[in-house]
Amino acid sequence: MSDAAGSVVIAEKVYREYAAQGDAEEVKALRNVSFRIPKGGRVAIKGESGSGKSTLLNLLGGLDLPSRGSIVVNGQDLTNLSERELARFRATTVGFVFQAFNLVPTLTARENVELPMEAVNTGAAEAKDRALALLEAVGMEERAAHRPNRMSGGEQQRVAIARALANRPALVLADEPTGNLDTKSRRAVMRLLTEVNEKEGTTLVVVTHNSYTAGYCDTTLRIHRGRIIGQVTNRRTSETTPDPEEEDDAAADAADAEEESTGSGRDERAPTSKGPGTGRKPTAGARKTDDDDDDDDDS
Amino acid sequence: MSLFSRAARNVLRSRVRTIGVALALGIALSAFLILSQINYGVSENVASARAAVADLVTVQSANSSGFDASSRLPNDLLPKIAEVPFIVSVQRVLLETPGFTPGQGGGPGSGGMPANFTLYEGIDSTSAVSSFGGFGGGSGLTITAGSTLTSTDENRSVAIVGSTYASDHDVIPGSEISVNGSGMQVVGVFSSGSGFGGDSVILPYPAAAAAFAASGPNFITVTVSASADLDSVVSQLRTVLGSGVSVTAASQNSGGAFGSAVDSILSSTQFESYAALGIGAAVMVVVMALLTAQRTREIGLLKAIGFGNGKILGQLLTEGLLLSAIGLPVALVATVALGPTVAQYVATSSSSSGAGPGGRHFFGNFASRLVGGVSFALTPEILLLGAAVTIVFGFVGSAYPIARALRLRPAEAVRHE
Repeated sequence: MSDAAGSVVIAEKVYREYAAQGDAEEVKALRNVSFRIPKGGRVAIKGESGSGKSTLLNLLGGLDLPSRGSIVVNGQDLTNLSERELARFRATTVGFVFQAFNLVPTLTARENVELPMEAVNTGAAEAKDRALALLEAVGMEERAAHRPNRMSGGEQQRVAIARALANRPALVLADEPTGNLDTKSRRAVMRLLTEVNEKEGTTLVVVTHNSYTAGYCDTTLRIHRGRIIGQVTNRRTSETTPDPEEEDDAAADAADAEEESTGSGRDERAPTSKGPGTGRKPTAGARKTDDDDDDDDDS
Repeated sequence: MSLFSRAARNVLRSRVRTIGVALALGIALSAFLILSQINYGVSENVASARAAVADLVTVQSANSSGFDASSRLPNDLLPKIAEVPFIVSVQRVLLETPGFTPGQGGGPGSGGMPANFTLYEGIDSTSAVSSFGGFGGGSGLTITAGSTLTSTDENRSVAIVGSTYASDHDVIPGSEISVNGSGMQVVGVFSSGSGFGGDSVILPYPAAAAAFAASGPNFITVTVSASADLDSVVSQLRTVLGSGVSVTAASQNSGGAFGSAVDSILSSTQFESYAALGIGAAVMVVVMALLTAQRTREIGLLKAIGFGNGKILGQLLTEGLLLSAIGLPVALVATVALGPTVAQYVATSSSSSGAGPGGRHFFGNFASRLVGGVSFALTPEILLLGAAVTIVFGFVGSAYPIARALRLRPAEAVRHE
């Protein structure tokens, strides 16, 4: 359910401050943040390390509460919900995708996808069917019985996406979903997320420092020192859009191939072609201004 | 996937850890079960022994050790005792311990006695010897060879001997032994109950008094018509006999060497069983704390994807109980296998600490008998106790992780590296 204006997320004058502890001063992670996200929208939140973008994502997902202001998601004002209601909200309304995948290592792919359904007491048979269908949707049906330690990073993230969709959430929140992936997996994961957005009408919010990833979204919110300093409408990244890091990877692959063919050794510690000034062209898919902080760490 | 299955997988995540926990918990729980069983069994034996003398009153010289000639009571007390109502019978008991020097340590159990000695015991009512069980009362004697003393033996120079004495002196029924220079014919060999050990000789009172030229008995044991009259009889005897004589209900007489041995066993097993409980609980707390500390992110994830505190609590509690239950089979096997050995060790250490080196024969055997009869079979009581402690361990081990998990902020946990 969204509000009358069709917004799934309404953030009004949101502040998040962390009280001073010991020698550490008070931290103002978010200051007077207001924005709306329409139902079915695709929004990237982009900013440098420490800018508050992950804090904002946590607030949208009900993992944290604002110090002031209000956040309404799918018609529910999160600041008015009890601890139990927040847990219910997270289980039913939001799907999380994390940079580090966060799959439970003792569980198989299918069991990991079933977890959110257990939170809402879905029957075992129904949960199993739904999990298998989701794994098929993300191309992981053959890995359903495998545990995370037998999967690549890209595969784990696809399972994590399936898990995020388990309870048919209105909102999928992805925190640096491609941060730990190579370029091929990054493209596959973002394609998957956008497909879900298009087919299911699920609203997608992606925190990223990467312009290429942000380019998959309609809009990019720029955040700096806890304030939203700009909103950019993107020209979407397409299948033909080059990923600047892909060029780096391709160069590295070529070097590896050459090394193997010539048998010459290479110092593994030596830098690859990736580095400042190389392969860091602005993405074609994103409109200007978003490339100055491409290499920032996660906030 | 069920909560139980998930909890089981978490508990069994590491084979090495699982085996280590099973052993540590099993040993702690087994120690608790064994020591508790010893404590319970000894208490039962003592209660049984006390019940057997519930209608007995002991009269002895005040402030005496009861084992030497100076402790003798005058024979003229008997008519005074006979005047008190509700008394059914009066039994004189003469004790002699050649080799024991009064004043070397204040009496038996204090270390003043030689390592080997024989207790000679003369009793009036030879026909009652089997049920009386010799000095200290108890569950009676068992004749293992020959016959017991009967009413026809009251004025004869005969004796029955303990199995230790018979073995040490190569004596069988029909043999003649010398008691302080007087010849006595052995009519039977007994193994003792919960009274004195096997290194003793029981004689008719007149024969013992003559052999040792005793002026009177060391004790007079009075049998009351009903235990309800006991207090009244004790009170009247104290009035009649005066202050130079100690009058006590036999069941209340927990002092001296026997009480010391019993107290030693009870207190040590109780303390050690609590220590074992503490160690087991500590193992659980540490292991569960480590187990969950390594899974901060996982628990945060569960909260992030909508698991409420109730479900988290349920999972951690189930894990705690499962982890604790791993030790139960080990504990039960160890209890059955090691119980008798531990019991014997407790008996030995109790006799040496409680009765002193001189009491090896008397009190060592006494402690052994108290502990030796304790069963370590897997009775419903032991299984129930083991299960109960397992559950307590599970709860105790889960408490801290649960408290920590409930306070955990998922936003921080999922970013935990």
